[in-house]
Amino acid sequence: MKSLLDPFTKFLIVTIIAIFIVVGWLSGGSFLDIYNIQSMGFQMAEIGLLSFAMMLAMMSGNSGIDLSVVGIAILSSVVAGIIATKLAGPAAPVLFTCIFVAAAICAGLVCGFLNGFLIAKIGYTPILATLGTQLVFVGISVGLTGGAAMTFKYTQEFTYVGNEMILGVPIPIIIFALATTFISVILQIMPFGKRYTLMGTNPIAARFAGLDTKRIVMITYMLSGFFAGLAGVIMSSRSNGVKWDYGSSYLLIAILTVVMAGVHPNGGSGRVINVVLAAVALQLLSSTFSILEFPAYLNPSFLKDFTWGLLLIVSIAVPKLLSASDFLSILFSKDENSVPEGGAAPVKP
Amino acid sequence: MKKYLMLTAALAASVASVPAFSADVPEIVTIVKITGINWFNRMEEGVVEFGKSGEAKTSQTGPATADVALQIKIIEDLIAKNVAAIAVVPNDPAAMEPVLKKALDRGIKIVTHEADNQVNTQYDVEAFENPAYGARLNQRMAECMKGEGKWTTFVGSLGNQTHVQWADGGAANATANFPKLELVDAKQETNNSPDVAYAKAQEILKKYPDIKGFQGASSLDVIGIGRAVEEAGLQDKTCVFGTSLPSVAGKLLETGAIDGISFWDPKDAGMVMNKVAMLLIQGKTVATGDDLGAPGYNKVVVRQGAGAGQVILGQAWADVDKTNMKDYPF
Repeated sequence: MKSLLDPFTKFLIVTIIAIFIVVGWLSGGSFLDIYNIQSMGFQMAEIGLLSFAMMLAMMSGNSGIDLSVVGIAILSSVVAGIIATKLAGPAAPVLFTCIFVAAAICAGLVCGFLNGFLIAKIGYTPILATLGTQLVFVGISVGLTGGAAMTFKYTQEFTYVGNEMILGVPIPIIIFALATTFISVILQIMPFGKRYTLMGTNPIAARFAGLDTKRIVMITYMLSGFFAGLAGVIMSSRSNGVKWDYGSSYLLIAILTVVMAGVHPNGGSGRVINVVLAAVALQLLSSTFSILEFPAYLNPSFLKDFTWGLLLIVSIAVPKLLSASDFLSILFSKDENSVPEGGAAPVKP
Repeated sequence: MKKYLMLTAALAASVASVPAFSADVPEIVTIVKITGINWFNRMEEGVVEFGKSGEAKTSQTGPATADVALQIKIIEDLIAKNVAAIAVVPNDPAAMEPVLKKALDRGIKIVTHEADNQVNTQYDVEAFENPAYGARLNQRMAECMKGEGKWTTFVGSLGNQTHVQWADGGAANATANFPKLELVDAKQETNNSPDVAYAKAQEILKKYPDIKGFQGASSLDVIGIGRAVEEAGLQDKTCVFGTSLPSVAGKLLETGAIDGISFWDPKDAGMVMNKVAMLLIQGKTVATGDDLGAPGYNKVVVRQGAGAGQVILGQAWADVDKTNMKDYPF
């Protein structure tokens, strides 16, 4: 049983509270205004969903990563837009929305299947497979739209998904909360989650234990595609359209979120709650730089990138340092891989 | 737990070093496509200058990359902050509609620039009628080409309304006045990046070795094209024209790799946007013939826009080549 609060969780919670207190005070309370909290909720869901997609790939081990998450989100929206426009025009906006959501998720699953197929069946390294498919997905999107923005006319109801609230809670956040529950159930409760975590920790042991690792990898990348497709729905609803380069900056932000959450790039360890907290922390910082005023010589956009980078470095270093019993022991410890005298040589997998 | 308390204090101290402001004058924020490039740095001069009048507190911001998704997020934050007015130069007007509607619904005044198809805006400020500007660029290029040969157009992106209008305006002018011009592979997308423009220009030069004319749209298009032309040693055989600034294109203008540029002064555009935003805050309107207090905007034309808002048109373009570039030190 893992303890409820691992060092990353603690660090992220402290960071979030610190930002709330400091920025709330500096902004004269306007940062803590309910409208601002809601506004940040609208903004963070798409990054959160893309981060889930990234997290699933990274935790699966075998240097797993999914560089195609933004490509999947874009292509899913383009395909869904075309299908929904064909089947339900502006006259049936609710039907349009339903078809769009279903089609985008299906398209995401298909894209994820392609990734999984390349990686599990043909044996591509994930970084190469998804780098390739990212370009393919974006390329198809450019081809289908002719490079221009695809706008959905007179479908006000569709924009509700990304821009309206239910009982004061932004709909994107409700979707994100459902997705969080979904991914937690899969990883914590379902048998698949146990097998998936085992495979991520040690793929060789998993194979010898009789797990069908290829099947697990396929399902992992399909789930990743599912979350990316869902992110695509929110992205296109928020801008009432889709364009091939929309969200081009999101890939690195998703990786940043996942790494900050303490998901191990070599697979195995990672917690959903940390990814949610990391997404919240990055969103808070992002809004901070739009709301606070800075002297003219400090460009808020670059300052934001700088602070994100700094937070990433600190968020990895601090939990490690704090969890070490003695601060100095880390700095002066001997190489962990050195062979202790008289001991057996460590076995490398 | 003590360590965490200390950590909180350290974080607090680092953020607290940033000064906070509060003022009673209305706040106008200008959001540009991308920060840190010359064009929008020049615009910021106009934004800051308007703020010096003391009528309003003005500032300029924008994303570090030209991604409309990031621009939307910045506007969302400003809506939450409840600023008095937002002046925006959208990367993609269509994608901005929902967030601008949200701002209008909250009573925030909206002024746009380079987006005369924007529905959710109150006033869209244009330096000039876009097709006419594209035609003007094309006219200069066609004269340089002596009226014949292959030519092509570059745009920052196909979603960028003004860039497409200039390219189309140019093509229309060529069709009407220069029958011997042959347009090939029109509207190459450069992503507002000189490197992409360079690579695309190289491809075009390889595909059409006898190409004679290039018409760029983004302020960085001609830089990439000029570099490719210069490397191929074709400065004297090609005519490169496009939107840019002397500070950006100066060197290549001198070597002849770029033959001529046109632009409107982003500083004046920035100032006029803020001026119009201020008029909106004061509950005033702009009508045809009004003087908005900047060169080229002394007698504006106002017409109906794509939505409830209106489009304000100036006559603020400047044609520059290596003979008169010294007159425009920015």
